[in-house]
Amino acid sequence: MSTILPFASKTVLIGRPDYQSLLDGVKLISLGLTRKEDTVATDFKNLEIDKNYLLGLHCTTCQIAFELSEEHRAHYKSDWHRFNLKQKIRNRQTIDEPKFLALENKANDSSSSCESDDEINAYNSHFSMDSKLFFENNSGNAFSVYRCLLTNKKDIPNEEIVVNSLKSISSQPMWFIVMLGGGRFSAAIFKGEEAIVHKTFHSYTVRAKQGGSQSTQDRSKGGCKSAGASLRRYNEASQLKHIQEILSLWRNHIKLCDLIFYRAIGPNNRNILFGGSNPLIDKNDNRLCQIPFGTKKATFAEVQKVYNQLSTVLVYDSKEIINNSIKNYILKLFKKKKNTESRTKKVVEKPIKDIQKSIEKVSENIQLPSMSDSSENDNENETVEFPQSKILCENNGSVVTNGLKNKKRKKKKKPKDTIVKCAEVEELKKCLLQTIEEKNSEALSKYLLLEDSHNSFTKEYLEKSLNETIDESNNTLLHLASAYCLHDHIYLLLQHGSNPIHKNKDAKTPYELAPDKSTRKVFRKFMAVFPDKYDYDKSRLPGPLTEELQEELKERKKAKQKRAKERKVVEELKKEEEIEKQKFLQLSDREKCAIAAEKRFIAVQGRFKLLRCFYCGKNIEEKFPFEYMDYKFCSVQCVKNHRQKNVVI
Amino acid sequence: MAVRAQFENNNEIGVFSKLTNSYCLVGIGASETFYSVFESELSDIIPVIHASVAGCRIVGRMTVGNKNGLLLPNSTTDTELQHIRNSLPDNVKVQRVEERLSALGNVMVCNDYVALVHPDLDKDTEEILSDTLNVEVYRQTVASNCLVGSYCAISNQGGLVHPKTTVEDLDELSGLIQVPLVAGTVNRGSDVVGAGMVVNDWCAVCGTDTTSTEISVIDSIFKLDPDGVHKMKKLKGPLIDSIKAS
Repeated sequence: MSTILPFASKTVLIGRPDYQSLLDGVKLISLGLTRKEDTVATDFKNLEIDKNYLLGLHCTTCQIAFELSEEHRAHYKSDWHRFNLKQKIRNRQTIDEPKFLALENKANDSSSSCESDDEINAYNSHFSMDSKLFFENNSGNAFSVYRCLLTNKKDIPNEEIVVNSLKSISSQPMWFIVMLGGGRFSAAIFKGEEAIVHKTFHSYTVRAKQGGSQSTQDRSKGGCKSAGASLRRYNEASQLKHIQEILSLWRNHIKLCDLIFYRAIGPNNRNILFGGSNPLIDKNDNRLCQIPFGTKKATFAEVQKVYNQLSTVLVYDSKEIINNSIKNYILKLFKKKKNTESRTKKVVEKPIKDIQKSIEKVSENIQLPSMSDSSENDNENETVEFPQSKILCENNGSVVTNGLKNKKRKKKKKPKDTIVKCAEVEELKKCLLQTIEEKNSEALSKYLLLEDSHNSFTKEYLEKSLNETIDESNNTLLHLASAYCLHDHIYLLLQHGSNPIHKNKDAKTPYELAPDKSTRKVFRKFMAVFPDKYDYDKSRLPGPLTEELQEELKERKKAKQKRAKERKVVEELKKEEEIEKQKFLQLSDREKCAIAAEKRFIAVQGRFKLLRCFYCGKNIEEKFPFEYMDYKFCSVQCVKNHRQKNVVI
Repeated sequence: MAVRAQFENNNEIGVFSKLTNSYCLVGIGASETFYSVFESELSDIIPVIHASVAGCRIVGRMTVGNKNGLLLPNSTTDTELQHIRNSLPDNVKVQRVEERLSALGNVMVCNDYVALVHPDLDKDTEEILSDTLNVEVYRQTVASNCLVGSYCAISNQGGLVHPKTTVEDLDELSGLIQVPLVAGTVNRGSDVVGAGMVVNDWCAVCGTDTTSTEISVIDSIFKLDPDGVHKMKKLKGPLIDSIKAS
């Protein structure tokens, strides 16, 4: 906190003769805040003349009177009233309308209405900076005193009381300072600068390497039975006893003390001082106050330090110095706030920086092997902004060995070659296409053989031209040949390296484009002859069509035809039979009888004629027929049906 | 005339009940004597609803309402809300509000036309309040206390406010609410007026500790017994006669 306050021009200890000289015409310096009540009272006096005020058409918060009750009511909805009301609740000065409007505009400009409020808050909290009060005296000096020395009330103190208590500090004040924590106890009673009595001791109560007191641990997790735990438990009890003994010994001294300062953090420590049925120190003692600044562990040296700090009065040359420094501090405070806001933006920027860093690293790594190679490299590596890949590429270029360089030269030559050859390929393609369009297989074979006769280079280009697409729908020559059912072309093309796995725009292979079976067979036949030439699975060929398979198929076909013929004969016979049957059934019973008789007659003569059932016309030559009257039947059912049909009267 | 009652030996009637011109809420689980006070006064005119809010019996401090509607805090359970909604007259709107200051009865006070609210109250709540209860809402303090609901009790006839309210404040408030106000106490000097009593346009209930002086102030400001004076006059004759006779 020393950063907030300027360095004091001199320090004075409380109770010394020079301290008394400070108190000449002492006044409390208010740092921007006055109590609201005073101003309200004066304002009221002015307003009381207003007759509207007497009618109740006024706002006591904003100190304003109205002529009409509508105005009065509208006022309560205004932001100004709301603001003043909140100020009033927080015991701050209310402001009049123009001021409020100015404030509002300011808040709008800075796009946060709470800022002004915050500023007031900050100002307020530092009214007693460093828990100190600031005074000025007749000689123009300003000085600061710890507030707890003058009043133990937390709210903003009354000037009269404070000044009185400031003046009443005796030349040799008696203070009792007690500090307790972490198993350490240190207490001393000072009279003036001298410690009349003091006692410091340390007992092992804090759990080693874990922290926290044993009793807290016991309470939260249940008793532990280790030796250390029981030791600490015992020590805690003995510490309490010890402290009680000491303080009861000092009781008379303590009674005489003007002030009691204590430091006891945590309920355990506070309980030792203030707890129990007969507390060592009365909690409601007026003299009691906490040490208003941070301290180290409780030792006698620390207690002395606390005494020194409390009793020192810092004297400044003028109150402006204090005011200015406080204002600066508040400004800083707001800057800090803004910084934290902008920090979020920085977070976004950070990754970019990280990337740059990583690039730097990469370039360093590359640099190592190529250091000796060339000075150019060094220059390149220094340019950090290059993207990583670029740096790598450029490095590669200059690090390669001689052999690689040769290869590169070759590659450079090649493109020229390909340009020349491309024209050839195009030409070849045109010719081949023409042959297909003309459906001239002889011309094609001529071309292909012609090309074959050339060296290996031309063969390569031939293959290329055969496999390149020739039209917009990505068809190859093979596709076209297949689509036109040019069997010889297909075979020739396949033979000369036209790959059947190429797909056209519709994702169809040449085989799939073939419109009839014979064309498809060409592919399969080729597959049978050259089973390993192409990836036939990918070209969607179902399988090879070998000679054996063809034979087998032929045989199968023959057998099938034979069976069909046989079936036809049987069917014809059946048909004849059926016709006969129908004819017989159409005859009357008498005719049937005649046929039967005729049959018998024929049989006698040795000629063949079928005997049939009179009802269903079934052949009953070999059967012994059912008979009634002269009618003959195949079954009882037929007899029955016949009788029902021809009822005999 | 204002009646006296006690809720389980507690005089803070305003805590355990809420009285308006169209309904009355009372905390559940009290003795029959407490309920009978309300029921004898009100039951043939308005419904007396036994209710709890967020499982608590302090219905008076948790809710705010008038003849037009009722606001409940967000902690009210669905079943409680349903029960209250079922028991209330149909024309009374019930609304649950999400407000940080959940003891709505402490931070707001209203009659059928005007409401005073805590200065820190949420703007949304203010809007809901004015919509549901059909009231003009004013942010104001009573004797520098933000808890306007605790420190004043108002009806359409008048109002009783914290005893330390200054004359200026009284004028201001009565100008705002448009009813006569008086600074006073209930329950033998208690300054938590709103929590100590409930009042509507024709009836008031306060704690058993309330002195007769306090009762007479309440009666006169809330105009609970306009013909009380006449009654005394009527009684005077026969009374004196009977004394004479004996």
